[in-house]
Amino acid sequence: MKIMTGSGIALCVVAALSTTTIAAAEDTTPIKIGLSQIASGVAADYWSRQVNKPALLAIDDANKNGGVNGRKVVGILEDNQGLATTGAAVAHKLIEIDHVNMIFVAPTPAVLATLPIAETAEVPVISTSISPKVAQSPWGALAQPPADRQGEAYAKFVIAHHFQRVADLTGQSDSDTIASNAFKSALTKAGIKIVDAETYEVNAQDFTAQLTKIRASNPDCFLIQSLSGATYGFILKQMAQLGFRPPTILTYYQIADPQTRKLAGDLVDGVYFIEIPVDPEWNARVFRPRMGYDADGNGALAYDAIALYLDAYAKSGTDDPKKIRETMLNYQGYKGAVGAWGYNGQPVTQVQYRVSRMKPGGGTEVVP
Amino acid sequence: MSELAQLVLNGLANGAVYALMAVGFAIVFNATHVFHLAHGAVLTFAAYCFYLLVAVAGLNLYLAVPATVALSALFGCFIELGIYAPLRARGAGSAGLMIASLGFLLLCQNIFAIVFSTDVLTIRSGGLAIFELGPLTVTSLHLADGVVAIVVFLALQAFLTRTQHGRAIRALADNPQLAPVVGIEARRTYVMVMAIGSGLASIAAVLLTWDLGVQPAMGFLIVFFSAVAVAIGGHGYLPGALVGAFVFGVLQQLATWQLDSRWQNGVTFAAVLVFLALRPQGIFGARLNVRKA
Repeated sequence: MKIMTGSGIALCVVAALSTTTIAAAEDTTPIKIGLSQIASGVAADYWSRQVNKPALLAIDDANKNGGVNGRKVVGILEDNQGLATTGAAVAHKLIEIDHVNMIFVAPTPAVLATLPIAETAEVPVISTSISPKVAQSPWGALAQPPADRQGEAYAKFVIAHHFQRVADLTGQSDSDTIASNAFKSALTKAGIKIVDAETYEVNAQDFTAQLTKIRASNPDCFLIQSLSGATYGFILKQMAQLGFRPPTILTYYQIADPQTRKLAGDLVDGVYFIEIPVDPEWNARVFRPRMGYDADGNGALAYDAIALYLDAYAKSGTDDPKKIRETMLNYQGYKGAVGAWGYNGQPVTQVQYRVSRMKPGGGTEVVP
Repeated sequence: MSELAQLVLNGLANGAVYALMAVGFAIVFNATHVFHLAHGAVLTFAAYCFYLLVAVAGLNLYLAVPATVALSALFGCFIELGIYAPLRARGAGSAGLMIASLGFLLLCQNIFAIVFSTDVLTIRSGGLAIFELGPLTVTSLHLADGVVAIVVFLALQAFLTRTQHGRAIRALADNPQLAPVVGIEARRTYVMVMAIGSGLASIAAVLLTWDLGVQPAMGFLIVFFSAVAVAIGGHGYLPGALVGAFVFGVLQQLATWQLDSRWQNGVTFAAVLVFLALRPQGIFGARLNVRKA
């Protein structure tokens, strides 16, 4: 009996200690954010500057402000190489080995490969890809306007400036094709003629065949879509080498990447582009001093995607991924890197594009 | 019609750079029977050398170009002595050598990315001076590409046909078993061939770097284009590689003429497949057979 009592006491002590340990573990378990992003290949340096580092900066800032309800936030960066196959492997690793709470993933092929795996495991996916398919998943959310809205933003500019002969050069990716189709559809409705539409392989460096055909179509406005500053540099150079410069060139905001000017020099001057407006105060106070360069729309949205999710996590007061996602989509009054924004209950950001122009000699200016 | 002529002109300009690469690839393949995919790594190595010599060390072009050629030739010798020769000595077949070559290409690509980043590094920015020939335009560099490719090729032909070393290379290419019998040392000749092939790749690298800058993956696609150009021209006959490269360059451009440009690679390679199905020996295959006979 004496022995039994001793054992009973010992068991009670062990049980009490275990409970204490578990309670303490629940309080200090870090919140893990999986970053499935490009970290090698042609786009790696841009991606590092304007996606990976801004996302990690948001995690760093959350920890500096005491974490999420006192819990530390950990970012786990894995290289998806921009590919579907690697993206799927990374998703399995992040979910099954690292047990992440959320996956922040881009570009489109890697996101689309991640979604079914994340859906099965009930892990939220937030993406700065522009594929509308992300928003169709019950676990997906787009922190960047989808491709069709991008196409409509291009069209709005063309219609507002009364161009009549428009040419389009687009990368052969799902997202670019969606944007291009939305652009062409809006122009057709407005009675504007598409004089030529050409495409190129995403990693191409020679565009002379496409540009020769577009030159022959004599456009008054030329839309070039790319996600790479270097690609814009090659295209502008090769246009000049063919003696081709239409009155207006419209592009995406990667034209402002320093790579473009390094390659194309002053050929980049006067080129228009649509962009996500970055809050200059945030850039000057938060981003530039620590990164040493300016954030573009991608960088700002990468920061905000993480920061908004972590704010929602703290506000929801739960670990239930569904409730956290719901809180995030209905979050009111968030002010971050691209100013005040939110999802307004939709799985797609409500951030709007604006039009800017490359200034001669460097810098950009907003077009009224 | 001017659009068609411009496409042909663009193709010839691209073909000139492919030609320098393809002739280098062909001379190595003919003499050593190695499917030398690491030729792409030599191109990238040369491009970074040229960039460092001009943009970082501030060397003028007259010194930087020969220095790049010399360094690249040494790099080619290193590939032969450090990779191919030891593998041959251990009895590696052509498949093993090709895999080693591909592995070395990918290894170099990764090393260049780690050392130099994946950004495009440039020596100059902006467009090049252009000449207008009626409705056609051509840049000074593209004219230079064509002239350099032909002059270098003629010099190489003269070396191969009129010097003892050149004749040794041809003898080894024609009959590797018999060549040693007449006193040609295969190992030394292989090293010489790799140096020459790498020198040719370095000239292509200089032209490409001047035009488009340098980045780690620049050698990957162009080495495959060179191999295709050699197949079009006909294996074993060096002028075939030159002609094959120009044909391939023009074919790439013409593939977009009446079709959507998304079909460019599909149409180009479909045309190559049809051509090789009809004439597997390439353009100069018959001539090659006569020579071998």
